[in-house]
Amino acid sequence: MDGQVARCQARQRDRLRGGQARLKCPAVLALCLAGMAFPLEGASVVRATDGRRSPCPDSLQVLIERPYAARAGIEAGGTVRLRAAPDGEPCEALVAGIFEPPADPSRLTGTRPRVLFHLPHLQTLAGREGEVDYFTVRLRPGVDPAVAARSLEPLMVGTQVLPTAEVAERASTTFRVVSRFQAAIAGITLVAGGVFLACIMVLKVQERRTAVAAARLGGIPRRILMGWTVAEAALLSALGGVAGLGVGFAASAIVNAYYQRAYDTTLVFSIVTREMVAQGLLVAVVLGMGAGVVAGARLFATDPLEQIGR
Amino acid sequence: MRGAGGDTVVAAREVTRDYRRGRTRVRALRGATVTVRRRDFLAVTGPSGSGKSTLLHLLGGVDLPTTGRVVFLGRDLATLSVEARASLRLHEVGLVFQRFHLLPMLTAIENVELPLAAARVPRRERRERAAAMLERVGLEDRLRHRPGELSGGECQRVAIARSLANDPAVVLADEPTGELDRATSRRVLALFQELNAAGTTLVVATHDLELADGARRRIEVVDGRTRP
Repeated sequence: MDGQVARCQARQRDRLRGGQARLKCPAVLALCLAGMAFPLEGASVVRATDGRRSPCPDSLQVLIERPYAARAGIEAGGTVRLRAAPDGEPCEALVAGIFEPPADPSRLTGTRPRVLFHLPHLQTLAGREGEVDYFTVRLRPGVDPAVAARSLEPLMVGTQVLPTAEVAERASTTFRVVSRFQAAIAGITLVAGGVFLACIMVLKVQERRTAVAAARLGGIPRRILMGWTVAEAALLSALGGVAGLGVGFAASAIVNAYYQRAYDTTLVFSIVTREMVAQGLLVAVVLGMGAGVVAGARLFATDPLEQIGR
Repeated sequence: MRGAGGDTVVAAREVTRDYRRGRTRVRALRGATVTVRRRDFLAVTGPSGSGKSTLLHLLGGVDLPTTGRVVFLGRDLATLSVEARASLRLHEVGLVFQRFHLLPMLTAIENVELPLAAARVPRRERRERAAAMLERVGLEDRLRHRPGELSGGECQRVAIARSLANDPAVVLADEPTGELDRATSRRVLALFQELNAAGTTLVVATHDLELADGARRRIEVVDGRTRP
């Protein structure tokens, strides 16, 4: 269970500012910190900028994401000037470190840099002491996030508590649509491939129709010859499937290398999973067998004596 | 089964065979009679279209006569089911064609093994028997070659080995030298004579007079009728 996190998020419509939900959360923090129900092992805080003028925090330190730091020429140990709002007073901050941002597809095309603060510094800078928009709670091993979320929510009026799996589920709706679209393309491609394979097999067996007819005349049972045809088609298709997987792995590597470079991210854009490999090979073999049956049926539909020539 | 029917392997009595070619009805045989006995080497000659191949098909149970009877090892072929005739062909008839008709994706030994596999001979035994058959026709160094890697004469010898695989009662060869040059045809004739001397019963339909002369016995088919 380590790593499973319940997430508290504000849902107070009457306190909406700048289009983002906010939550006065000291009570929640207190609950979590006191370790009453679900001991807090780690927490993060994000908040919205609202433009209020505020004093600069003492000893302000920040972490800056690597891609932005690289673009802006910022290094650890240097200083940057920050404002809570475009017209706010600038505050000098020490760059305590550069961090690698987590691979997050939703931030892929975002242009705003990610900067991490100590929570009190951020609250002071933004003039919102004691407030957070949302934070995450790491649960101890063995605690069910769904149960934790259901238990926490009644304790915090106007707050929505969600397991991270559900947050991820909601955030990935777009990607699911894309995945379904890709699955549809894959399905159409497989059907087209199956038809193509059936055509190849029909042509192949046509080439040997007289030899098969001779074997039939020689008393070789149809099931044996049909078995040969189906097995050959399945093997051919499986080999095609293996080659296709090779192309898939290579294409996936190229896509990842290109976009990881283009977006300066560690995000993996294309993956070929074991399930895909298994499904791909299974579909290839089934399609091959189907093509073999089609080809065999055509082959055996004609009188062997006609095929040999009377 | 070998014992049935005494010394006669297969006998056709006054057989006719009609078939349709488009809208036209063709009478390929008009009353042919022939008896094949054990250890026979019978050549069936005659001009193209005279009915030699049709007679061979009837003798081998590949086809059934329109009228008349074909009795194979004492059994009237017309009384057998399609499956029973296929089984009889598999076990008792060896077929050799003018164009060999070997399966191109199989090696020589695999082509010879095919009828053995169909007859459910155990794998090791059929490999040994197939290798022995190929050795018998002089192809012991060509076991792993595919038909595309063999000459016409070698392909025909593989086809002859295949026809002998299940130790059939009779081998029926339809123009076996039709695609071969003179020297290779002579080697095939010599092979047939050798097989016949060893006890194999052979019926060969041919235009090749040298092959026909090399047979022990000869009949002629003219206009669908047999002449001694």
